[in-house]
Amino acid sequence: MTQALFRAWLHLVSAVVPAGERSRWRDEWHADIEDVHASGASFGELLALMIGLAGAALHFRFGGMTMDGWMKELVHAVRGLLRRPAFALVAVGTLGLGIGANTAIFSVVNGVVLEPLPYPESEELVLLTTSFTGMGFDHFWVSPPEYMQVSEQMRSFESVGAFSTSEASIGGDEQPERVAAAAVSWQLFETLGVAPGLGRYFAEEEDVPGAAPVAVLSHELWRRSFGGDPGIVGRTIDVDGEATTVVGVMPAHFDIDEAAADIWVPLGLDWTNRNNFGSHYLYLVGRLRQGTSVATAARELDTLVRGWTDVVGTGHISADNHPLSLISLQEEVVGDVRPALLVLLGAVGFVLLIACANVANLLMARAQDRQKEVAVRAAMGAGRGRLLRQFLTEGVVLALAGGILGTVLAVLSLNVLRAVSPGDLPRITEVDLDGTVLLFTTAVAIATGVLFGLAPARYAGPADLAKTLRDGGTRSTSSSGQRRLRSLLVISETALALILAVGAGLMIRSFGVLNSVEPGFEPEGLLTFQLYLPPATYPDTEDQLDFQRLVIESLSAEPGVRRVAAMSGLPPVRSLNANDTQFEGFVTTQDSPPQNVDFYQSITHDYLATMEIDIVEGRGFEQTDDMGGIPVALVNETLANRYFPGESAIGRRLRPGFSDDVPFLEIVGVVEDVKQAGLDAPVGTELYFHYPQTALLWGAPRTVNFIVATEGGDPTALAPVVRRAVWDRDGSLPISGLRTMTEVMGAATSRQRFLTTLLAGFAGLALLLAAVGTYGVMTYTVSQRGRELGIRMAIGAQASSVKRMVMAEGLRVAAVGLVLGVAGAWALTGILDSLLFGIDARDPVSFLVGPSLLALVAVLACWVPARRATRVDPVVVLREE
Amino acid sequence: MTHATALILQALATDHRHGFQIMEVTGLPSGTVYPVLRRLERETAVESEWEDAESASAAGRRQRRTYRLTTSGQLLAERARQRLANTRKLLSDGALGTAGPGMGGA
Repeated sequence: MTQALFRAWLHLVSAVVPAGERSRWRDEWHADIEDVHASGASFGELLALMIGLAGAALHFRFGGMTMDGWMKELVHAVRGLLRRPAFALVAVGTLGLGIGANTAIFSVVNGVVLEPLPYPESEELVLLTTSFTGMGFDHFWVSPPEYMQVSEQMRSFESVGAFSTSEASIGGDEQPERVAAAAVSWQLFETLGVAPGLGRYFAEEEDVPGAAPVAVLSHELWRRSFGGDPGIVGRTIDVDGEATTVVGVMPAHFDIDEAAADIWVPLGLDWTNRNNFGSHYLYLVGRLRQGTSVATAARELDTLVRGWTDVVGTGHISADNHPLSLISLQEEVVGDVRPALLVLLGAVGFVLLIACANVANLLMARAQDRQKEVAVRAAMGAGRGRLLRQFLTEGVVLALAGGILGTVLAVLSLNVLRAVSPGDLPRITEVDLDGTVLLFTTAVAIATGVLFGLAPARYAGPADLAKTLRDGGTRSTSSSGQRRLRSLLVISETALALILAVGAGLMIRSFGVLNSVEPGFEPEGLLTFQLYLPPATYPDTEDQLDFQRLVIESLSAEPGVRRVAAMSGLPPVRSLNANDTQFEGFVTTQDSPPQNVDFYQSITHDYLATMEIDIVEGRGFEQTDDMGGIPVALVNETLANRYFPGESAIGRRLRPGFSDDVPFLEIVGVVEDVKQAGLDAPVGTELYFHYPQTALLWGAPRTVNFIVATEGGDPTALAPVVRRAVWDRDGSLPISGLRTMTEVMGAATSRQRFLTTLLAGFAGLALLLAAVGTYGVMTYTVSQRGRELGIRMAIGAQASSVKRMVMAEGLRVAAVGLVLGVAGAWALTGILDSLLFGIDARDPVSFLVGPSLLALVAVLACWVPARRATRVDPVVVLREE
Repeated sequence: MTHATALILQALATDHRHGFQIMEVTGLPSGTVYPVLRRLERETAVESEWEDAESASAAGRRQRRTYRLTTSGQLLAERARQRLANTRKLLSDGALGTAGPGMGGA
């Protein structure tokens, strides 16, 4: 990356060197840069070298000048700009906006997507997952025996670690806290190669079933909950009600695959048990041996899995329907945000192009205004080199001021971006402005300044000189070439702004569709929270159910509360269960779906009413559906249609797993589909259990979600009531995820909102800049043609026809831009395809609204100058003649 | 002759023949070294040529440009050496230390 930028800089710099000696110096400098680089120079030293080369190139182009001379030139340039504050302000502001937005987004892309993960030799790290091709499960977990086989037999890996994520209640120095946790095998930290900041990892003998509990803390948890106590190692803390010894603290920001865990505990796998091949709950991270490619490892993995049929028989696991695959850890972490971020980078690049086009226009207009000044200075003996130097200094001063403003804006907007970015945007905490980004910004700024700063110099030639002086400097003229170039700039910025407007329109429409997705329940007026009931305080299922009931009863009695229910999983985004489920009498054929249900949901009887989930057929759960009654279940419509197509599901029976120890449950009701895998994902199959019944049959999940329906008003007002209801009974229980269901729904679309907001922001900026650009050019054209218009009006042209003429001229240019923009958008919006939900990339509404908006902007930008044109006073114009 | 020119001539006289070597040994920035080399070459005090491609590719790097002093350049270098020797004497006598900035231009 840095190398590429240096090369780009070298090309830019050598372009300044006079043509005759350009290739010689470029080659010589290239060799010297590589030698300096090879000698182990720091980034700062390389940067100094590059700046020096720019100085040398300028020296070759413009002749030698002392530092004092350049200083004088600089002061002159700054004074010149201050004399025209409006021009300087618009130019610097435009460049600053373009550069600032680019630096900020480039920093995010660099930090999130391009930079290697923060592990030593991170390119050697891969993530291993499984798939069940028949069931459409990709990126699925790995089972312990599969892990053990991979770890013991594969030669492609130096080491392989396993982890599984969960949550844990931590008793800190103050309130107990519910945090993200990960159970990891002792090999994992070693595989990642990151040393603990304090203490050590767990040892092999601590990672066995029944070992005394130990834990490694995140730097953040250590600071937050234990005040950064340097004596934390060796201390015993409360984890899920169990006394656990802290053995280490990881360095700040350490994370594994974006799990954001605050505590790591040993996985405690039993390496003597190889029977649970079907129990998939682990992710594996492997470090490839040096020189081993991902492809080689993948081949070895495939061979290994093919051998498993001998080990586990021909159950549902075989190489064809259950392959293991590996993907680079970097790809895993950033793969799915890359398209979105690259789209943003492209969008912001367009903004910069538009900004540059505007500044170019400004500089060219100013250059024409200065024809007289240039001619007089040239006539008084200022050499062409001297004049070039002056314009160049002005251009660079302008660009650098824009660059400085841009950097300031970038720092500010990065802070905003970090604050508003969705929680699931990986590595956003690692994002920072760095040297590469700054170099990039500086190069862009200076290139703009150098290129367009030189525009006025064209009037320093002898022919222009004579003509300008002859004209007496009362008017400046522009050649048809310059007019064409200016029109071209307006066309380009209109086209670019239109592409952005259409893109933003598509994202806004897609976001609208996403927000109107029917989740299957009514999120308004609901408050939710989560409790984890630790085995230490709630050893039996009865204890858990009692506590659950007490909380529900006490909350239900509160004023303002309409209903309270509990459930095991919180829609609309939860992780897949994919549990094997036996459907009684179901005959498995080649084409039939596998007997496996996507989501299990344990609920209390009031759940459906609380969430306003409709019953489609049959009935819901009743309080009498307990241990005394027959075991019952509810299913969603998708499940009923998949397994009982064309017939009623009521009365059919099913059971979790295929074990005879578990009784069959009778389906008594079919309920409306509820989104569980995200709003943009298809609804999976869902099976509902009644807590008081099934919890006693096979135990209840220790994590319980509660949902409180209010009688109207702000649900958050009930938060203190919730805390009191829980803590009055058990003050040691952390309450997590206490928020309204509307907030939960908002979080489910946060990434799309982030992307849509930014893209819409850039499109707005682009529209504004395009409007300023068109307005500027039109105003300038009118002022250029003031004499002509004046004469026209003097000989009887109507104000309205003059207005029409000026408007037509401007709109002709804008129309070309619009046509090109529509074509560009048509060609480019395919890139957005993977980011859109529920609408086509060629959505007619977006393709209609975008161009209309831009046309409106163009009409406004032309109308104001056109109106001004009709106010030209013919008398004044003719007097000047 | 500027101090920078004297330093560069002296570097060339002591067999530092490439741009990056001259920067390294003189501590002068690239923005000074290359313009001085270019001027000296135009004044025929130095001549330069590309090293042959074979030895560069044998060393696994790009071809370097090699500078060397001409006869007139060697005379200039001798003047530079004296000039630098004077400067060194001035510094070792502590002239700058006692006379202060006023002597800075010497």
